[in-house]
Amino acid sequence: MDWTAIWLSIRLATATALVLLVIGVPIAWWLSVTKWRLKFLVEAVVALPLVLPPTVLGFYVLVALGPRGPVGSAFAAVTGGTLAFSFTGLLMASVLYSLPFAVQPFAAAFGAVDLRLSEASWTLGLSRAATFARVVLPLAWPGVLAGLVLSFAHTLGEFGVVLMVGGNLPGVTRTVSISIYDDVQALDYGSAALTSGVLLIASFVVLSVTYGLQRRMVSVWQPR
Amino acid sequence: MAAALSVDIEKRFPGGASVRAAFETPGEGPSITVIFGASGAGKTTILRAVAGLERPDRGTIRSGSETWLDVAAGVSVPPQQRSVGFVFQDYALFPHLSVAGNVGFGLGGRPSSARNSRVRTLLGQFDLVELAERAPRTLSGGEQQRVALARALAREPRLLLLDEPLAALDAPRREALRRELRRLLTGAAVDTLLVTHDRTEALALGDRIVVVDGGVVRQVGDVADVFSRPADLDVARIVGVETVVEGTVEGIEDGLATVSVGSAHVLAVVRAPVGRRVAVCIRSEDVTLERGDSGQSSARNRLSSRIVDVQRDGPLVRLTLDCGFMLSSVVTPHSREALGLELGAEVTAVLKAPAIHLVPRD
Repeated sequence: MDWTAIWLSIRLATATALVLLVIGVPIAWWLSVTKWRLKFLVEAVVALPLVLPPTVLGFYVLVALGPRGPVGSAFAAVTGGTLAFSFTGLLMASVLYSLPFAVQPFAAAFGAVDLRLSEASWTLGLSRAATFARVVLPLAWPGVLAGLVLSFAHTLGEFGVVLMVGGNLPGVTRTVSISIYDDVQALDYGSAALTSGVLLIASFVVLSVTYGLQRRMVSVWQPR
Repeated sequence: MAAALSVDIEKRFPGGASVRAAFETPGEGPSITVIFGASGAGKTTILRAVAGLERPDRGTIRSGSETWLDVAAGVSVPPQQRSVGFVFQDYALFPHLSVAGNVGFGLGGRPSSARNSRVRTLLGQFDLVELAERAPRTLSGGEQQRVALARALAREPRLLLLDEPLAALDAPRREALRRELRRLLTGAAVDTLLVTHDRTEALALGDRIVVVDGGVVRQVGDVADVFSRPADLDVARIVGVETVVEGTVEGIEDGLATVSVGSAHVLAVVRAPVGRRVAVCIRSEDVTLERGDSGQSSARNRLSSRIVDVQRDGPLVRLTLDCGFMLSSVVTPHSREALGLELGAEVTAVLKAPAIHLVPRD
């Protein structure tokens, strides 16, 4: 079993979920409150990774992150490093790839919070941002948690994007799914089965703990 | 003295509906103004516009010397900076906070000692001390209402806004809580705008009334005035004068008009010249019933009639009489029994002339 790959995947998935928490929450909040006519365009862009083949997404990200791509050259100018085939580059690709898995549950959870609670908060003098922090977020956190877990689990299993952007560098970009693929290619079914089993059980445990927890919290908050 | 609140707004909705409202509340001391009308008449839109939660397409809203809205001048003060307390129809208490947390929610800008003492005062004032740590969902409707009021008044707003404050409660409790609400509102001594579709609530709680129908303000005035002297037929229907029938003024003598209504004639205080068509408005409470005809009464209208319908109406019984036109009357179950007021019974309907309100029709 490839513990290095498992550890790398966990690091990547955790980092992805945390980055998505930071950038996904504001995007989802904006989507849940905006009355902008062209909002649907933003929604479509966010949802793109759901339907796009990972290789297509991976290809564009690779071009963008490459030394001559806009992101890659800017990164090189600032840090002197390269993004393609690095952990940072992989993280960026993986954040894009999991964006809808975080933003959609976030936005649904924010949208499900009764607007009158926000209005009550505004008439009590709280700004929109303060209202979000003190009313919407505390009431929507089961949905936020669900989005984080989904993007964590989704990142754990990603393959196509990693292959395109990260390649297969042990300890740097060689994630669990790549490692399993390699094992199968090398006809090492024993190792592939072991790693797959670990991934399956870990995913199941994470999801059941989350949904179990969420259910209890939600029922506690059910008004009336 | 300037009006406490002056509103003149118009809001158009997609699909053609619109709400237009122009009214003022008096500036002499705190008063309760009721915005009254049927569901969908536009009452809540007006209330939300005053709070800044709804943005009118045209008009102005002024509170004392402050301008809260002036669409033409591009002024629209956000709800946070209007000094209002808003009580929502189902109270909209924060489910993740305790009673004390809800009450103190808007006091975030104050030092914590000042905040705590204000919360303690409010909890005491609204009889919530025992419930301070409870979650809103564990409270009864009446308790939730007190929390919502305490929360709305915590920042000592200049104006209190209540949207159908009793609609979320069941009928038996509504009556008890109506009295309590009146007591709390009087005690709070703050200018109040209250939306309701309930006539009893308007009569019980309001000092002034704004009658809204089909998105338009139809009449503004003191509650008793508007109820007893509706400006036109529509207002009469809205404020619930049960009998509204058409008649014609046939003659005037000694300040009394003889009006033909259906196949009957009634005497009423003159409000229109001979020949004019009028709406004859009679409130059920003003109709007295007699069995047989003793003839000894100061009332000028004695109409032979037959009971054509009997309906229970809360603690009372509502009778429909055919006296040449259809007349509605209410009696207590006790009188109904004593007088044998059953379907088909012949009775005399007795009405004083001043109780018949004529509204000229054009």
